[in-house]
Amino acid sequence: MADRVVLMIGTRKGAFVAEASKSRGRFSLRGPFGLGVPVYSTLIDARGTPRLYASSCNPFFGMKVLRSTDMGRSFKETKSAPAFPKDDGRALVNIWSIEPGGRKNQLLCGVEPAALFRSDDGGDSWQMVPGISNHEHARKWQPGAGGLCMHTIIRDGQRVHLGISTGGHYLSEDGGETFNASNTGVGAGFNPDPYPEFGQCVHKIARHDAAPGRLYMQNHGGWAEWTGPGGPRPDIGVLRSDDSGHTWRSIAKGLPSDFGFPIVVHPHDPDTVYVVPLEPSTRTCPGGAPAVWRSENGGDSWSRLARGLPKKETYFTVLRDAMDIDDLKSPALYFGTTTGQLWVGKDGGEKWECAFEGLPPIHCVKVAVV
Amino acid sequence: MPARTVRAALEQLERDEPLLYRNLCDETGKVRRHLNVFVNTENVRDLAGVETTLAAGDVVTFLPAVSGG
Repeated sequence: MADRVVLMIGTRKGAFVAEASKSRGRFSLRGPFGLGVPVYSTLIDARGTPRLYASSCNPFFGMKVLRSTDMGRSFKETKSAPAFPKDDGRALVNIWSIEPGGRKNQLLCGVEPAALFRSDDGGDSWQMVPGISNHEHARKWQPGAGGLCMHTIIRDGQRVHLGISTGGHYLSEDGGETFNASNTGVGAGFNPDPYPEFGQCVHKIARHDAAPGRLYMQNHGGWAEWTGPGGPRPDIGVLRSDDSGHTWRSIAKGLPSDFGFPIVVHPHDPDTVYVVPLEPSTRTCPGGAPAVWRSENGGDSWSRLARGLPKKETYFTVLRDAMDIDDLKSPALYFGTTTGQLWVGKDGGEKWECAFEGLPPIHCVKVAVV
Repeated sequence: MPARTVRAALEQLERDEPLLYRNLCDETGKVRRHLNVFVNTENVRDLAGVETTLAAGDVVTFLPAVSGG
C-alpha cells in the first residue's frame, strides 16, 4: 500500500531524496547523491518495484544516469548513459528529462543538444530515436539560455509530444517513429515572424489523462511591449490546445506575467492548472512577492496562491522542472527555487510551508506516493 | 602502453577500457573540455595537442581542472 510521499530534488550540487508520511508534516532528507554534480532531471518510476533515477551532468567526465533500487538510500551509475553515434558529430552536453516509456523497463530521455534516446533495460543501454534526433529541423534549432534542450516528453497512446527549447512542440502520431513540428498558435517573441513553423522557446508542456486531446503549455512569454519587426506579441506565454497539440490558443489573460517556466495540472481535475509567473526581464518573482497562480476553469481565469510565501524582498526563480504535484486526495504542490528553498503547498497550493531552506540551487522536483 | 602519439594512446584506451575512455573523451573523440592532458610535465595544449608524439617511458597524465563554483 502506498503510504510514503517521496520527493526527488535535483540541484546544482547533486540529488536529494525527501520523504514524509501522507500527512506531509515533516520531510526527512537524504543525500546529496552524485555529490557536487548538477542534476537536471529526475524520475520516480513507480511501475512495479519503484526505481529512482537522476541525471548526473558532470562537466568534467560527461553525462551519467544514476539509479536507485532501494528508494533513494543509495544510487549507482547505470552501465551506460545516452551517447550520440560516433559518426554523428554531436556530443552530449546535458540530460534534461527522463520519463517512463510504454513498456516495462523502458525509459525515454531528452538531452542537449536536443535529441531523444530510449532504453529498454532500465537505463543500462540507450539507443538514439532517429525520427526526432535526425529530424530535418534538428540542425536548425537554436539554444536558449539554458541550452538546446529536449525537456518535455509526454506519451499519450500512439502520440508522443516533445518540448524543445528552442525548437518548439513536436508531435508524433505513430508511437515515436516520425515527428512533425506542431506549433500553430505558438508565438516566438524573439523572431521577426511571430508565428514560425518551428523554433519557439517552449518552456514546459503538461496534460491530464482525463482530458483527451487537451494540453497546456508554458511558452516563452514577455513580449507584450515588443515594438520591433512583427509588432507586439501579448499573451503568447501560456497556451492551451484542445486538439492534441495541432493548434494552440492563449490562456494568459488574468496573469501578472505570461513569462514563467513550469506548468502543472491537478491530478484529479484537468481544468485546474498551475503556473509560476515571473517578471520577464529578470525571471524573478513579480514585485519580489512570489506566488503560484491557479486556474480552475482551464485557463479562462486565474487566482493567486501565496498564503505562507514571502510577501516581499524575494527574487528567486522556479525553473521548468522544479514544480510538481502529488496525487493524494487533497494534493500538495511542491516547488524548488534557484535560492535552494523547497516549498510545499498543501490543499492544492492554498497553504505554503518551506520544507528546506538551504539546499543548493534547485533544478527539478518530482514527487510520487509509493 | 605502446603508442606513438597521445591520440593513439586514447584510441587504445577506447578499445581496452571503454568506460574509462568515455570519462576522458566525448562521442566525437574530443578530450573533455575541463581535462588537461600532460606528457610528462608539459600540457599538450602547448605542444601538438593529441598529436603530440610519445617516446618510450613518457608518462601521460589526465588531470581535471578543478574549476567551477
